[in-house]
Amino acid sequence: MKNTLSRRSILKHSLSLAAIGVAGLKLSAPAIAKSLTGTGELVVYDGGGTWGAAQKIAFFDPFEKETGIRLIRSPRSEMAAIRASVKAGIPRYDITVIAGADVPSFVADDLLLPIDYSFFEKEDLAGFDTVSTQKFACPHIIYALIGAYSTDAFPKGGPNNWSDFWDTKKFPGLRTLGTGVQQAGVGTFEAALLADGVDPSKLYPLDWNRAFKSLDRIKPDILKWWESGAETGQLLVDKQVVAGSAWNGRISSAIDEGVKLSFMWNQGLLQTDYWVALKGSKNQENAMKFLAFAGRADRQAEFVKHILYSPPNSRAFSMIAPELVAKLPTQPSLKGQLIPQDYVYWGQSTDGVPNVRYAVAQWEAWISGTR
Amino acid sequence: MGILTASPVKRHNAVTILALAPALCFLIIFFVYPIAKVLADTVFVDGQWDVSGYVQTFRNSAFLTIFGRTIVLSLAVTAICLALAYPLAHTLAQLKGPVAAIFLLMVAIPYITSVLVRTYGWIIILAPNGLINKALLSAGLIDKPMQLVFNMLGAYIGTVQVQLPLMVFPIYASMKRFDHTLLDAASNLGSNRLSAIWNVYLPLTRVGIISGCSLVFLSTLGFYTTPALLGGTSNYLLAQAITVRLSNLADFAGASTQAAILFAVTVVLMIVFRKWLTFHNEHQFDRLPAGRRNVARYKARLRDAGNRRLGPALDHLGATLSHLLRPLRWTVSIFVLACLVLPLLVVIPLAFSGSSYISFPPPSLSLRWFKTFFENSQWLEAARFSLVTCGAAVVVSIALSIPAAMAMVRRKMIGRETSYLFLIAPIVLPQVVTALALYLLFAQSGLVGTKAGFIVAYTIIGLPYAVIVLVAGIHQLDDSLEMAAANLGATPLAAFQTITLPLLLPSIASAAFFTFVMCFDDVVFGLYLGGPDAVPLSVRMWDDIKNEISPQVAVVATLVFGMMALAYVGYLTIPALLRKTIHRSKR
Repeated sequence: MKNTLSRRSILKHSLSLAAIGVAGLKLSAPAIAKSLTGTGELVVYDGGGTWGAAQKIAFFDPFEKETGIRLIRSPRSEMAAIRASVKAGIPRYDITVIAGADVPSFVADDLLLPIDYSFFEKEDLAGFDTVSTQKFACPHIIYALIGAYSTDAFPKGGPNNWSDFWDTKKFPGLRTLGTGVQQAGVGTFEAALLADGVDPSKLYPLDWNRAFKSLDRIKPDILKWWESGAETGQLLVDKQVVAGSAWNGRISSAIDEGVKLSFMWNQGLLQTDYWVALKGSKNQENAMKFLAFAGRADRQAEFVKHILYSPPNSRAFSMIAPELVAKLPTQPSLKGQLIPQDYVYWGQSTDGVPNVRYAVAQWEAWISGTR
Repeated sequence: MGILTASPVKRHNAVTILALAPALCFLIIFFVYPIAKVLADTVFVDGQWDVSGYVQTFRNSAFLTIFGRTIVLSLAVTAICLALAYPLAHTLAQLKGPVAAIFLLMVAIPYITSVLVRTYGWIIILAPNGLINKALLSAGLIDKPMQLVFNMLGAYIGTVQVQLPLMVFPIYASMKRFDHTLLDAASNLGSNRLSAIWNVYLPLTRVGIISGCSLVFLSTLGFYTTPALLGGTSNYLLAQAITVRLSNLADFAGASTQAAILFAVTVVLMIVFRKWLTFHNEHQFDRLPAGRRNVARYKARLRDAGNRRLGPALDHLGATLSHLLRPLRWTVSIFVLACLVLPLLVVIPLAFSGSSYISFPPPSLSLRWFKTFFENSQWLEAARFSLVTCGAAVVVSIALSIPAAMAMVRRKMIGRETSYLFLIAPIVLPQVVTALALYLLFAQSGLVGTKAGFIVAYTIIGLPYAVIVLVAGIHQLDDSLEMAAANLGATPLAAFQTITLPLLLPSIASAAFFTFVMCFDDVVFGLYLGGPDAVPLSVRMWDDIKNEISPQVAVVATLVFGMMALAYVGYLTIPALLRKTIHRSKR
């Protein structure tokens, strides 16, 4: 009992500082992190494809080897099923990954376990300085929604911000943007406002009317609204569009393979996916150990070798080859150019409706011509 | 004692109930009960009766627009499918042996590959820099590429391709049972080909048409992936709105409200058109005859057909058109088959790509994606899991639907139409809704992430298809043969085994095939009900292509295609070979 209490108070203390993102919290973290070795098992979400393969090499296999805890990889499931599983008391995973915009509603619906950061090494915890750790969620990957374009279409240089991206006279050709029904996930509303000249520092709260007016202007030049990262990448690779919003990793790897694409880091939207521990988990302690393990700089540096997502623990950067660092959205040289997405705003409401739902309703009305 | 004194009618009723009970009970437990629980939440909010969700939804003009668009798309797709499938089914029905089998396999091809693969195949073919535009440009027929995809046209092409098999198979089954001597008889009696088709063939294949149209219409209502991928900027359908609410927004109430409205409207439509949807015996032409002796029975009607002349001009036109019918039919058939097969064929070369993204033609050739497939035990495990669960679901679906279909077609009973509509209802609801409802049920009983859970779920998917195909099949059987058997002293069971079952085999095979491919194709139930030890192949593919389309999916599609082709070749040759060896050993 005593142990729990002290752990809690330490947790509270370290969290408040981590949330502010103060680098000098070393004193507040426990001097020596607890051992990660253990017994039993842990069910973790496996992202599949290249992502899942990278997770396996960097986190899953070494975790099993170092801690003795059996790690069971479990594939993708629908968000609704995950929620239902927690409510039914049989969480689908012990540890899963959710998008930043989903964190507020998961917290509000009481689906997550508070994270015990006392398992983290203090240096690692301090390393989460781009996107801070949260009481219920620990950053897993940071990536950027950027504007990508064909260098064949614009050999003299492509768009450099969303206003350029919207400028179909200067940069003629069809485009693709993410479908608004995926609201925060695909950054289309933010891009529309930035294109209309909204200052990045005043982006939130989103001005919905202005966003849709901006979208009215680009709509005739949109080939289609993409639904998945695979789709926008493929539309660009196939030259169906000359420009499109996309996630940086896939575009980078296509460029590495010789596809004639380029992209604008400027005004890119920094997005984060978080590790979360689901409430009702039967392996809570193992879950916390895994989070600490996955927060380690060496593990995150290994992860980046296999897929181009930024490590949230910035200590990892010193262990990553410079040519890889140059492909990451949180590299030091880009400071100030990219805009972190405001998940707190997305967790709030407009006219009494949660913003994510509001966005979908407005989008449906807009594409049906009834807005 | 009771049994002996019971009147025959009562005994029949007992038999009917017994035959229908398993299928009905299955759906009540695993479909109605969980769905009712979910839908109840839309009218009881916090224990209070509250329909404000419905009022709001109906006041929402965006919802009405989306709903209207969904209905229009479903109707149009149904009409197009019928126009294309009827001539094709006719051609298929006249083929025999291995050729027929291969052609039937071609019809089923859309289902054996992941949705993203088949839509990608269409993009390769239809895109501005795709195969069709390239061919037309180089032939000098057009100056600049036509926009054939990412618009309404693309949405229709993709949707029609996926739904076509649902139209072809039931019509094919009804034509296969058709006695083609009737057409010749009509000709002999002075009817031209067109009028013979109109007056004889069409009415006699009506059951197939009806079941095909209902299958296509209902399943298009709850369908959105392909139109979303191949359509333009405003192809947003109701099933997508429901899925978004459930999967992205966790708006269970909003999703269930819209699903309930879709379901209610469909049920009303089904009740209004029930005379069309179900099968009646009062009209003699509803029951399809088999056997040469029927020619005599229908002679009068056929003579009518020959004599029903609408004036010399029309008659002449009919005669002229009649000559064009055969070439026209063959053109349509070949065109439709090409449309079904080409999107898969163009994907096959991608499997041998050396690149890590998809590009047609592949920039370099290699077997690296085959290697990663076979090195990854997850793929093989998933393939085995899918085969076992889908196979079991096929057996259960057929076992449940044969007695139910027999009862519904053969027995005079109250609520026959209701039973039929009830059994095919699961097609209508968008799968996410059923999947969530089933998940909530399974969560209580520990069936999530198990084979048993998947077999139940796949049976829900498969049962309606099996019922529709088998009802059409049984409807066309000539029950006079069984009566003859009964008169000669055979028990009903013996008559069923020796007469009905063999005659029904083509329909059973087609129902089994259908059920299998529909289950094999499912992603939605897989995403809800899966677990670490329960991952179907379709979900593995989906997982792999959600963020990145790599040639890996093309490899899986190619392998599945190859295996099905092998199985078909085996099915065609092994019995013949066996017969030969047996023959030889006897000698």
